[in-house]
Amino acid sequence: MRAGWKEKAILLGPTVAWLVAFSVFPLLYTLDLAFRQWSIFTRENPPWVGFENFRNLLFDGRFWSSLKTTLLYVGSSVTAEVILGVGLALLLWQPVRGSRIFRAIVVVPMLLSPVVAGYLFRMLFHETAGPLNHLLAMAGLGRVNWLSDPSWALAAAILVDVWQWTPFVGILALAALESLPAEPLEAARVDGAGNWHLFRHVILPAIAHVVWVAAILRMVDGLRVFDVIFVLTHGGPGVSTEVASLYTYLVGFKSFNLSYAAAMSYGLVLIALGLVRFLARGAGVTQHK
Amino acid sequence: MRFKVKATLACLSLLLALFGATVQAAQQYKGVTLRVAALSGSLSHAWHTHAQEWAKAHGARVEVIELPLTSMYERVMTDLITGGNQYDIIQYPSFWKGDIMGGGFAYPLDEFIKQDDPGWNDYLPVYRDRLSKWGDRIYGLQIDGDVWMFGYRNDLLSHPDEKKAFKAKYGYELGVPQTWQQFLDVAEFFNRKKGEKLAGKTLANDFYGSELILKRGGGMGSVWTFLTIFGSYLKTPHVYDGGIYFDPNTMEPLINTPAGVQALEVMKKAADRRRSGPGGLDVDWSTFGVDFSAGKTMMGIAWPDLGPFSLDPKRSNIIGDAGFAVVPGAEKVWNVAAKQWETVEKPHRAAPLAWGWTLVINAKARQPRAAYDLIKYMVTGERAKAYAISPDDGLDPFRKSLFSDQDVLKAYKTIPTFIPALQESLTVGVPDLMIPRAVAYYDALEIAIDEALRGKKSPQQALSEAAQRWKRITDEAGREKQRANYRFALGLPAK
Amino acid sequence: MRLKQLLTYIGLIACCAIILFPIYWAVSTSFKLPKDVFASPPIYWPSSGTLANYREVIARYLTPAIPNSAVVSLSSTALALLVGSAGGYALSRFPSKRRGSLAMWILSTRMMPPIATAIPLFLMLNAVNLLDTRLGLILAYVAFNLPFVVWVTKGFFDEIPVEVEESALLDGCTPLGVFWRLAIPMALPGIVAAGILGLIFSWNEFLFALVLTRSSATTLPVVMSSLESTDGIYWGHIGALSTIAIVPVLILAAFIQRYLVRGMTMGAVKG
Repeated sequence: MRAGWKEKAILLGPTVAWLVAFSVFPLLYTLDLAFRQWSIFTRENPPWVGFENFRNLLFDGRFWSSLKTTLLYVGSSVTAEVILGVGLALLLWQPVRGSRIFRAIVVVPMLLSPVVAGYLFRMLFHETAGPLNHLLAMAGLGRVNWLSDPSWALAAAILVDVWQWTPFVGILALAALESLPAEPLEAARVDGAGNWHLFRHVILPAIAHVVWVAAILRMVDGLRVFDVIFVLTHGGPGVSTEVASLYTYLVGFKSFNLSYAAAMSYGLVLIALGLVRFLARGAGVTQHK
Repeated sequence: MRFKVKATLACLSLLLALFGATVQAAQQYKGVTLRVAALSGSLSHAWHTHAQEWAKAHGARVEVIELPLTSMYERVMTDLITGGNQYDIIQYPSFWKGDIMGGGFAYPLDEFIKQDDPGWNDYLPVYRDRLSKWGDRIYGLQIDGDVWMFGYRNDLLSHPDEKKAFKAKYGYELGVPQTWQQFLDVAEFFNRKKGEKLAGKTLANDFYGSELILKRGGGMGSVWTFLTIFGSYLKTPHVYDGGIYFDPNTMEPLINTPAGVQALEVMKKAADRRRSGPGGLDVDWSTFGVDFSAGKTMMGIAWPDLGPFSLDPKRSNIIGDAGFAVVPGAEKVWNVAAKQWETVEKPHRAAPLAWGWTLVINAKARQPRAAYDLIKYMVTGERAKAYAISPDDGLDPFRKSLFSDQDVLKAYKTIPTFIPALQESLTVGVPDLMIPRAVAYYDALEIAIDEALRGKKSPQQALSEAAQRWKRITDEAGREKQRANYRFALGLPAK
Repeated sequence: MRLKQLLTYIGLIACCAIILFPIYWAVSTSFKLPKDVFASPPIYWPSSGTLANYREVIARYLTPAIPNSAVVSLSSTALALLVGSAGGYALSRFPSKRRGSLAMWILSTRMMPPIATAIPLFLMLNAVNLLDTRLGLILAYVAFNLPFVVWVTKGFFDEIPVEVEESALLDGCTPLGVFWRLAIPMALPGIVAAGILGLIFSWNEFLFALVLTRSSATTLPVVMSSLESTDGIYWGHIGALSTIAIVPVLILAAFIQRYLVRGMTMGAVKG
């Protein structure tokens, strides 16, 4: 179809303008802020300080530890979600009656606000009155101090993420499974391939790219994680669950050191950009289906 | 007859006048809405009750905006800084004073106070003189008097069998711990497992020898436990003016001195399971308050609310069994100037005057006069007395007259040590850090405490890093400005 | 074969139980008496219930949070649809090499950590006195919903055969007229689905609402995060508020079941 530049401008202009005003301009503003020294308490014109904020960032142990926590969070939750998600997809793929109902139920967690999800699990994690510890005790396992033990708290947060987002990976993988052509599967079966062999050498390679895309989408989301941690542990105990977004928020809005927070968020933006580039390559694969 | 008519007329006119006056009072603030920012939970209680009575009597509306501990500071400060003017009255804890009064966000009250006395001379000077003023003007009225004190189980401490056993084990008489070493001994002695005996009875549950508030975060956490112990080990000229944070000449932090390291060592020992409950570093103020009144723990240091908690039938299993004293002290002190340890004759103590809630009126409030009327109402008369007695509002005595008030004394007659302990604590009170950015300084300190107690870093290393952070915060805020603020807080000449 | 089916059922039911249990727990907590909330062992099936939590929550927290949440979600979604579906149509119908990277650029704005834009947005809205207003939050939410709307609607426009539109053009219709009178009605189900998902995303959003509002324009998730105090948490209230937050989302989602997956994956999967 052809259209003049006028039509294109009318159709596409508002979208671009809006994003420039409320996404791009803020990011540039952040960049400018990151090179200044501005605490919100000093209302004078903030002086330009060059790379000082970034230099401070290099030596800020708390920043690096928050980054490490974020990566640990992302790495573990995405790994678990991929494994469990593929399993879930295989289950949903089986031709059984009522599969529509199961599919409808499965998507529920990802519709919830992470704030709500965080609170749901805080109730479950409660050390004495929570059902999780009660079930563990009935199974003869010890009680876990889910949210107050620093070695468990991050695992607890990861568990919430896995609960909420495994279905996302599952649904994507399921779509890939359903688009598999029937012939290779039949052929392999006729050749007498076992279930494991079938999965490992026929099914998995065929859905791998979709699962990969799902994983990247989850990684991008995981890097930004804020809500669940804010509600579940607020970064505690100690700073054991303090992720990068939360630390940035605290620096920006509790210490009101907005320029330092800006520098920090640029660190995050760079990592996110790297991943989006990654994603760009993967997305081409799924365009046609 | 004449007389009767006259008398009737007089009565009538008097009635009318009275009626008119009441109507006038009721109309006085008709249509006025006052919005109050308060910490959610018990600290809002007084605003949902007493303030509503005031509102009814004056035809005004009082809206309470409850803010959670995790975000109250940023929400109040962003509103003030950006001029959102959401709150007419702000109830804030003392360590925000530098940000709020120092930031020029509070309405000066001198004129109002002159016209309409809020019981100014009945305020305990220790709170009033430090918390109400900035520069040479008055900006705030205290609604709370907070000083940390030592709470313990008097019934157990005075039990003859326990006394005997303690003497045999430690070689000295069991009593209220005077030093941190004694605190650790008593904690170790009373830490019992389920099935063991305590005061002659077999325990159905573990009994904790002590619980210290060691949780990081939110603000009602580990900082004040540290400051209590650290301050007691520190010898510097202005301890009781709040001089434990920096050297007032150079703004060099004092927390990374050997006194700080010593304080962390004591906390580490106290947090050990042999002396403390299983909560460990997860014990915050609410856990300790609940555990103490439930009779799960022997002792601890915290706010005076422990007194009313221990008498509250809703939460207490230890009614009448609690004892109170001034916090334990140090047997030696680190002399900052001479850079060496010195022994002291009697234990050196430091009780944080922590949090003490202040009421200020927003400098941009539309109805400052009405707001003043309300805050004056909230801090005077029956209200002040109710706070001193009730376990529900989180507010503690801040008036001199309360210590001799018959109702207050009666309320605490089953725990006779409470009022004297409170009074004694005030003599060793250490004010909060009251300069701008105090929240950031405390946050850095809490992280160091946490890292040291978890063994991730040595106490010295953790505190040195915190001191580095403190220096950076000082530089960001302007070293000279902060020095002037700090000296003002200590009552020193600006120089 | 029978055994396999049985195992499948067991697996599926177990998964659904794990998925639904946390929600069930919140709903049941919302009806529990205060003394039952902290019962140990926990009460799985409360035998006596109360509506007190709902009464208290409705009286204390729901205004202005619910009207705010509703107004902000509805208007920001409507605006995002208006602006974004045109953008999606343009990207679908006038593709070029450069447009491809434009599409990626639009997508990438959604991948940014929101905290990075929250700080300048806070300062911008403050400069024009829009902090703590519904309008301020709407402006931000449109920006955050746009990339998603553009991508999802683009996918639906892609599926409409171009021939119809081309013949309309030959009949003298303007390209904009074709978009408005032909393409929009044909892609309507997709646009509605994108809208409903946009509604859900805005209803659930937390970080921007936390930073950009204080009290007048505060939304439901922010109010929920404020229920903690030094005295602990009123789990009954949390349960009731969670239920109130979840129910509209599930109802809305039920309407667009067919397109849910496709929308959630930004068109990556056409379920």
